[in-house]
Amino acid sequence: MTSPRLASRPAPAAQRPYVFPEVRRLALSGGEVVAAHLPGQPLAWLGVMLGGGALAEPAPAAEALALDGLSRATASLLDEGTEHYTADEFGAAVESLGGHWGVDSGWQSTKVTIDLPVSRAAAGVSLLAEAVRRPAFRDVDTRRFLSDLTSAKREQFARPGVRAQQALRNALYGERTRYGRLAGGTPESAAVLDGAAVRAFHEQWLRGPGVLLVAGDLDVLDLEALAAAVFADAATENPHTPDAEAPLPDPKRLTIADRPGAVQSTLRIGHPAATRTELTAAGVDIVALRVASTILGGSFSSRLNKELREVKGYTYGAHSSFDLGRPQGLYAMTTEVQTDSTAPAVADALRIIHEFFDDGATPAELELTRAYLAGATPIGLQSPGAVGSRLIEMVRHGLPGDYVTAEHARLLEVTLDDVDTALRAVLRPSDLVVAVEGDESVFGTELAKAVREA
Amino acid sequence: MRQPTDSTAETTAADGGFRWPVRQFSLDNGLRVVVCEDRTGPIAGVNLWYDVGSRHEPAGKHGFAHLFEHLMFQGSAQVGKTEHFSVLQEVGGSAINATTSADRTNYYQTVPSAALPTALWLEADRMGSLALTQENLDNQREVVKNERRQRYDNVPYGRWAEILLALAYPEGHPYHHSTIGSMAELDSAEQSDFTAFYESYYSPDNAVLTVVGDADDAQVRRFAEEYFGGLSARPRPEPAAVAALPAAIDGPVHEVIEEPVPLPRFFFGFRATRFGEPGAAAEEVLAAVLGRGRGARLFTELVTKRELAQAEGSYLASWQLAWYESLLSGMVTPRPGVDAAELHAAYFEVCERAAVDAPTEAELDRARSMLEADWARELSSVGARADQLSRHAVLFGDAERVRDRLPELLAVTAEDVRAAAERIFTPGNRVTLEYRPVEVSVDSEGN
Repeated sequence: MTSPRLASRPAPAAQRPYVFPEVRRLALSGGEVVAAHLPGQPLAWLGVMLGGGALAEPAPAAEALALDGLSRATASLLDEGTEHYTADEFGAAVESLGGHWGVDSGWQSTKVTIDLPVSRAAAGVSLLAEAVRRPAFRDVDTRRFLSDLTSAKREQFARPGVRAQQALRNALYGERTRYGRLAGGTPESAAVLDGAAVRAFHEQWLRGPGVLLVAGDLDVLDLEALAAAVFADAATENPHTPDAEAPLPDPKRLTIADRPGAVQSTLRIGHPAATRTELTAAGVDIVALRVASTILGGSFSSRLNKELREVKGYTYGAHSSFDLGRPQGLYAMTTEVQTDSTAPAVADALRIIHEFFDDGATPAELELTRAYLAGATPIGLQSPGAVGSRLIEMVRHGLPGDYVTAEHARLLEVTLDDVDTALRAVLRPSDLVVAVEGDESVFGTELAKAVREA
Repeated sequence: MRQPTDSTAETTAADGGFRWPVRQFSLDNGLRVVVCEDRTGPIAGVNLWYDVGSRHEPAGKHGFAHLFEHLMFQGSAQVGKTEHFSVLQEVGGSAINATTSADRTNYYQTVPSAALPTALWLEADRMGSLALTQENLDNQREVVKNERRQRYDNVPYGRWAEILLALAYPEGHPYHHSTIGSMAELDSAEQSDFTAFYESYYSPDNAVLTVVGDADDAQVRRFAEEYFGGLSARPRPEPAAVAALPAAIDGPVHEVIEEPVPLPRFFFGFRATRFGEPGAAAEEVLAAVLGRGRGARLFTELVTKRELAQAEGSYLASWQLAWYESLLSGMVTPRPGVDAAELHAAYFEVCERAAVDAPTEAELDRARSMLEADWARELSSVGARADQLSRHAVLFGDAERVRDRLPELLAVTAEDVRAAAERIFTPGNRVTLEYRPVEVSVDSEGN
């Protein structure tokens, strides 16, 4: 093989500035509209953000099973038959527009979205309105859907990951509180849901006007007509979902979901955190925290991925991040490691997190991460759906329409001190709880020792 | 029932749904370059297709093409180990990855357009001078084994596609083995295997480089010459001759797998037409009409009407394999209390009826709308658009063929779909993989 003539590395060049699309906030037809203008974009994303969420689910009567997952099931049943469409007809109607239907139900809100060619937006929003305002919840559909949901949950729980997540939530918040369990419920809780509970939940929580979110070419989209369609037939109030209970004051440090025979262990290591709004009020620099989080576990070059994957070969990937959503935030590290590396991987992860907290970021890490995040903003916002997810953040946290642009600019100014200060205000390495789903018979003793000695 | 009004059904313009200019040229060393200028944002997608996949792997070396893909991120003459990602991130790059399939290996990243030279330099450095060390091989072998555990061995039904391929293609056929390979064969991999693989296939004349976004062809030509121009073409072994397979699988084949899965489930395989050959587009539309989404025949018949099957997003999918006979695959799960054999028969009943009952206009319209919107979504990011251009350049020798992709799908008629069903759903042309749940055995050797 003749030796190649290799060019030398090009000098770096400055990135061009980035500006988030123009955002319009309007009050139309008795509701609130938040819209991002994407000129020339052939696709549009439309969403309605309603209340509800898992924390709105009713508390069970004494001795009865809790109806965990009711909020998500109700949201998913909105398009399974409506006043004017059977379930099959509705699905076919969405697909005949080239639409992708999306449902996302979190702790305190419910989002229903459709992503489709902009030329079909009017028809799409009619379907959105039909599902949100006129769901039928016919017995034949709820029974079929809930039976499928129970089976789907059984399958989900047979896959690695969800039981580790469940163990972490149980440990942090206690399994007797709603927030200490999974938002989507379990196979057992899915099995006790029924049509009456779904109808009651919808009546109480999902009839408010909500907020209409639009990401698309506003020169083509008629916001007034879209709003008129979505807000017709809405109740006048947006009900307020209660907040979560406080975390347990002294959680156990290690919890294991046993999975005999598993060839990998799923790790979830985390602790509760404040929300974005609370942190901002307390003077924490959210952008600096994002830089810190990315250095620790937010990209391929992060400390956690580099050590656990590229140096040790324990895993296909390791990540960690701060979720600063409502009603409470969470720091969580996640990875899947081969079973016999479980204890060393946990020890390494805890050590890396502690070291990062103690020593802070390096200048090289800061420089790399600032550039990476700055570049990632426009790259990550190419689709209307991605822009739409920023609109959801705006509404959830009461952020201004130019917050993405402002944070992008702020990135370039963040200093090492900013990064270390923000991290130390939020990360608490000694409060970390380790949840592992895997074959306890292989790693149990060694893991307990690793956590004790961390 | 009311249907939504649709005043603008005519959404595909004369450009075939691909509205950007395409420029193509080759360097003296044979590297083909495709440029698609789009000034919407200050970013550029950079994509390389190497015309090598697991179909090139000899016996005993399965999984090597994919393991090699991992080694491509471990450094080269001017790039240190673990530096590949950081070099890109330092200039704002993201969406950095690579994938290996039976047919090909693609490498991609999206960067701020100011950093386009860095991305091209990095790709050229590893094309010309990869660091194939024992340390890198040992570490990435462990990473790949964990990828295999995570995706195949530690999840219920995780091995279905691997088993299906082995049943649908004869021993020795390039598509008989899965791309991930086996633990034992990965363990036997030696450094020399990868040196030979690299020299054979990672040559500039075996690749297509595509740049999409905030750059024009003069710029890209200049950069391509500067960074790739000093690399030399290398000889490749002649591809092994592969005999054409019969039009149908010599079946029906029915294999039962007893494993600790949560639910019984069927997976199916049907021999199908190569991507790009006449008839392949009709089979894609057939898969959408019968098997994709809430309005598909298999959903409405098996889930809603007869309540035999669990709701799923897809019951039938086209693999679009491009070098030899392709595959349609299916799956279906019985609802609790439903006799598996009854569902199995009902699934094929719906499929076979499509050979008699051509799709209605409404069914065809639904499928076309889904495929058309899919295409618009696919092309909406510079990275995915670059991948499609590379794909068409490698498979058809001309990136402009990307403009035919959507028109070919939309031109499929009801009769084409019916004929495709008649071709695919013959009694012999099928592999059934039946999972039956058994109790968890508490045996944790964990290999």
